[in-house]
Amino acid sequence: MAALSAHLIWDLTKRDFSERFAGSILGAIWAFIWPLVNLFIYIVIFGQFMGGRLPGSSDVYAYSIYLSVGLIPWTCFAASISRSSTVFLEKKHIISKVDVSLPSLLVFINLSEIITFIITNAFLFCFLVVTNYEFSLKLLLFPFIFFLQQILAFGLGLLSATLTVFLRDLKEVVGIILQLWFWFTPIVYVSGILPDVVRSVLVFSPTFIITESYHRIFVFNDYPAVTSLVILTAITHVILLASYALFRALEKDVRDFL
Amino acid sequence: MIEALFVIVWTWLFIMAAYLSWVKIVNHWKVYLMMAYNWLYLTGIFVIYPKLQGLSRILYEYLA
Amino acid sequence: MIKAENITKEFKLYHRPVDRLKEIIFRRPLHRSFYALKGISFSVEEGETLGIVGQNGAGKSTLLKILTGILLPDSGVVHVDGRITGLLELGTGFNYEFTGVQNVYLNGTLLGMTREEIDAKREAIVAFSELGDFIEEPIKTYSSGMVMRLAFSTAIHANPRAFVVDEALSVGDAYFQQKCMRKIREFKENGGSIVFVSHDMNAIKILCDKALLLDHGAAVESGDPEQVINTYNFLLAKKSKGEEIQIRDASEGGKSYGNLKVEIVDARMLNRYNEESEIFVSGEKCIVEIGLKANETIDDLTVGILIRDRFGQDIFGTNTYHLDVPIGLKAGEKCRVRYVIDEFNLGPGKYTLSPAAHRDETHVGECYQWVDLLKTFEVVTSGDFRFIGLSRLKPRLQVDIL
Repeated sequence: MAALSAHLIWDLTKRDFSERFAGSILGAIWAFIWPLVNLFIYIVIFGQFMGGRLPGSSDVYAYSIYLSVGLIPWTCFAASISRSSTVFLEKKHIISKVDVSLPSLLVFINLSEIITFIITNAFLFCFLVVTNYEFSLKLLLFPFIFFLQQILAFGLGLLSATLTVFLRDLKEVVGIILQLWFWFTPIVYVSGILPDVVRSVLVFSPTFIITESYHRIFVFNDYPAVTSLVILTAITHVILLASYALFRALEKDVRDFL
Repeated sequence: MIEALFVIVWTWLFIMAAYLSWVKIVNHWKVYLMMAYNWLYLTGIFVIYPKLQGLSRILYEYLA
Repeated sequence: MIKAENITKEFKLYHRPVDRLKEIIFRRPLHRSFYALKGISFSVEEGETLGIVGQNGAGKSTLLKILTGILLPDSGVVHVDGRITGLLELGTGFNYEFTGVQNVYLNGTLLGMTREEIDAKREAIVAFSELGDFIEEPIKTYSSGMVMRLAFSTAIHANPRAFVVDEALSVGDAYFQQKCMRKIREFKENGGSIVFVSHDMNAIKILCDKALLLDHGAAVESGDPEQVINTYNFLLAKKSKGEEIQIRDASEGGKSYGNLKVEIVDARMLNRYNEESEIFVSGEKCIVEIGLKANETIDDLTVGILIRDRFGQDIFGTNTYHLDVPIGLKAGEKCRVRYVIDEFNLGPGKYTLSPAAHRDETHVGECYQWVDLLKTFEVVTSGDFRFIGLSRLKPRLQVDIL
């Protein structure tokens, strides 16, 4: 088994950025411009120009924050999964020539997306400071909820990466599922507007629990629902374990097919 | 503040445990062990963290 | 050290990849099996080179991929002390937008080097590749030879304990190839193990301490390279015709093989006095005489001779096909083929003669009989002209004092 080399993962991550912008004049600065533009859209366009307001809140920035704290992690989540699903095929030229540990390729994708996430969040926190947002100690939970989210993304990503090798169509299916999943998660809207029937089903969606938790700690100054999170943590780890076990069982075939 | 202290101690504890296990165990089954650690770690955070506010209030009143 | 024990690799052939998933779900086989390797075992000690020969599809590349960990075996264990890299990975992960130096870092990392290691060897890599100032240019501006030079430099400086070489030394020009060979020898002397795959039998003979012959995934023979290559030659001959061939020990020297439709009865080497001899003077006349007997009627017989030096390298070979002399024999007829060489321009040393009778241009088609190392002889220089080397290129000398 190939060693899971931290050095290699870090190098791949750096390359992910430098290759994306190789040959351009501003280079890595683009990695900062994109998140800034996105954040601008969330806060100014959606929050201010389009006049999004959070029901029951008089704060003009409440909806901007609500939207941002849901959307920024979601972007990371969705990008991690969709990029993971094709990573074995994309890195075929490396996999078929040198001995790399295949899960480390997923680690690098997640890491790369997390870096974009951190950059965007840094801008968000600047915005919060400027608008005199009241920081509470509950925000300390934010990294952990996000961590849980990314473990889920890793598990699902590993599952789709493994299966996509055998069934290329899965790449499109993953894209469609993520798109639908986005709209079935209260990110741009508040869960209160959903009919009770739909809501009673959606509370079991992992991203529903996660997004709800972000909203609670950022917007409503409350603790997330502990029971839901604990159950979700268990489920996420079962998914991770199952994906990894499936990957181990199929690794030989994956390498043969590439 | 007790929250931050808890997060630091709890994290350090698991990093040490994970590091030692990773170095000591050669078998690839250690990956599953890491998953178990991770599960315990996050569950611990989510369960204990919200309880600390009450605790810190009691502590604060006691010290005052 | 590289140690492989009982490596078996089965490829499952599916119509479509998704069939593999169906197989798991419905629990019924949807593939045809194909064994690429069947129980291969060998070990390469430190400072040793193992040559792997075999036809295309014999399992050589699969074996290399398993050694380097790209493919996983179905059963068996590979044990490698330290880092193993392969020249089949030349230039993995090169990005043509990046400069030479940047690509050294990218490629080096994939080969398992740490940043500090690359920092330390950077100068050596650049120097070895002889790219000079080009090293700071994007490699899209390089010629393909320059890219290969950079790739080889990085690979050889990755400091592996074991090296896997796959026909790779077609890198760049003759000058750079020799430089690569020197570097590989140096690596070997420092205790590195090498596994070398090539279709170039001379390269195998020169470089390898032992060899392994693969055929349809099975190890047919292993051991002394000379021996293994001879067996490989038999195998090639046998492949082309599904006929039974006979291998028997010749009276003198090595093995003989072929279907014996035509037999080589004797071979003689005569000096300029028409006397049989084992010592010849370089530049003088030599006659090689092959006696044959046809056991069946053959209308397109080719008789060839091959002279090898003491390292087993082919020095000279030709046959009646190349000399455009067709021979036909009826069953029971005998004949004698004489190669009259007026100037036997070989350098001093010990040589062997292997005669062969076959059909068409080479013995790979249908081989009647090939006798390995039937005769050994020695070439000495005459007093009038002294030289060294394998050939006598007698020059006329002109010295102009200016």
